[in-house]
Amino acid sequence: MALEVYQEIFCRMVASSAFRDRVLEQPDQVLNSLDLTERERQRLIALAGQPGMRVNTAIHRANRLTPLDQTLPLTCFLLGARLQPVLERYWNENPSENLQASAECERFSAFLNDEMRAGRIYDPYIEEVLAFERVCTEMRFFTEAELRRRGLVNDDLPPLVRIVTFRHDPVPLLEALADLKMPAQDITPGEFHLLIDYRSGEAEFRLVDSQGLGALRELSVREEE
Amino acid sequence: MKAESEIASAQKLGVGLLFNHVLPTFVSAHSESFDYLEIIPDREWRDRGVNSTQRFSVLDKSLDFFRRVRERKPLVCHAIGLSIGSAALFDTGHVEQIQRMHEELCFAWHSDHLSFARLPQGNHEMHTAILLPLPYDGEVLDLLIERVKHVRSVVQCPFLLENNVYYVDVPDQEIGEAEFLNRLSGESGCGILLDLHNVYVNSVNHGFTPESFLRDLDLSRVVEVHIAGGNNLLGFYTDAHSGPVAEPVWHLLEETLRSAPWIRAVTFEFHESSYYLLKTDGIRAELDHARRIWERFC
Repeated sequence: MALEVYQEIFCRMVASSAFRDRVLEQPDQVLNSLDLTERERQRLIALAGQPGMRVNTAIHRANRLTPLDQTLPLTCFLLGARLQPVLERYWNENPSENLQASAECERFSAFLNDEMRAGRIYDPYIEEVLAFERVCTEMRFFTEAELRRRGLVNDDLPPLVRIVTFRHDPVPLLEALADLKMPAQDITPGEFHLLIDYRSGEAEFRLVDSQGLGALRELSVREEE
Repeated sequence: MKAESEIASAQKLGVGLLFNHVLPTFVSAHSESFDYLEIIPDREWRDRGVNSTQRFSVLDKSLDFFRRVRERKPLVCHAIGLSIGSAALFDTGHVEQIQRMHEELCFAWHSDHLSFARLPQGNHEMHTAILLPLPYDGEVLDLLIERVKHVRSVVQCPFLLENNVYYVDVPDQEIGEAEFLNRLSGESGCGILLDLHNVYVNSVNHGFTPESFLRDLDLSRVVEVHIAGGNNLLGFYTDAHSGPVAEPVWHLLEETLRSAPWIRAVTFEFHESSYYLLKTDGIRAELDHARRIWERFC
């Protein structure tokens, strides 16, 4: 039992430097009521004061960021200086459960959508860039059968072909982000359909207009028949 | 199979590469540059949590890819998710899932880390996103011996535990790290996955010589070696797996291969975020360097 409590306090000190400071500054208040042996109590106080704990915390945070950086790099870049406070809120509300990239992408995407709906994040481009990266992640991680099973397909297109609708011209928007530049504020608004074709195993992108989209869907239906 | 014969009978593999998600093209195009591929199974499945009825689903895409690799190269499994040292949790479901993966992919052996990272929190779990050190005490040793025996009874290939990297000193430990590993391996039957970069990182941050650690370690229990590089952070040298192998690790590799009788494999690890430091030529250069040393001693 004592070892369980020791490990829990150790983990909390890694995740939160504020909690670590409390252990260091008020050890009796934080630790005395807990089921710890005197040796474990002393160990925790000693750990709290070691500079290596800052390294543990930095690695904890970097490792939590890694799956998001792998799956939503453009969204993270677009958030810019807002990323850190957004991550703080996200991590506070969603303790890390596992580090699986596709699952973490899904969870963070849902969080960002909630934040946008609640008006805590406003950005003209984030919603569409997030939707784009989410689709790319799904196609990267899942096979055709899995995409069908999970309902992650456009009904009238092959599973490895998806359309993401942008409200701004995606070409200058995605090009700027890919070059690690903030996109211009005056990108042409409208309805743009970006086709992502993953059938070759590598993503291919093509802008299609409404007419082209209709033709594509008809073709797909005919192929299925 | 008895522990000793299990270690001795592990397949001699050579020089391999730890798979990450920037590597599929390299693995397909440069398969002659490595003898085996090491995979992190936890990254290739969806885990809905210990309380879920249909808990694991392996990503078909990953499975397809590794099945194709398996036709040409042996696979080794290097898990990160067991958290074998978590006092409040022993995840037998994870162990069973490793066996299911073994049935699919026929691993030469499987391994995990001598550390803890997971804590049950009601219906959920917390994952520390960093593998934290265990206190090297008799109580922990006893706990681990039972758990390793369970793992060995479920997963039908040899099991190795990796020496951990740590950035803090746990005071007043009953047993030294090398002795702890020796006793754990000897009494539970697991082999040792000796991460030489971890040894080097710990030696830099905690002021001992890596050679002294290697002298104290029972090298006859070592089946696999990991080599990697790191970088500096907040005044510490870290096991970041950033780019090429750290220069002193090459020397440690030579010393280890010279003295360890049952070493079966040397695995190069790098983090995908440092791919730009290596690229194809850089990965090949590290593998070639490891192979030159391997061929001198093994």
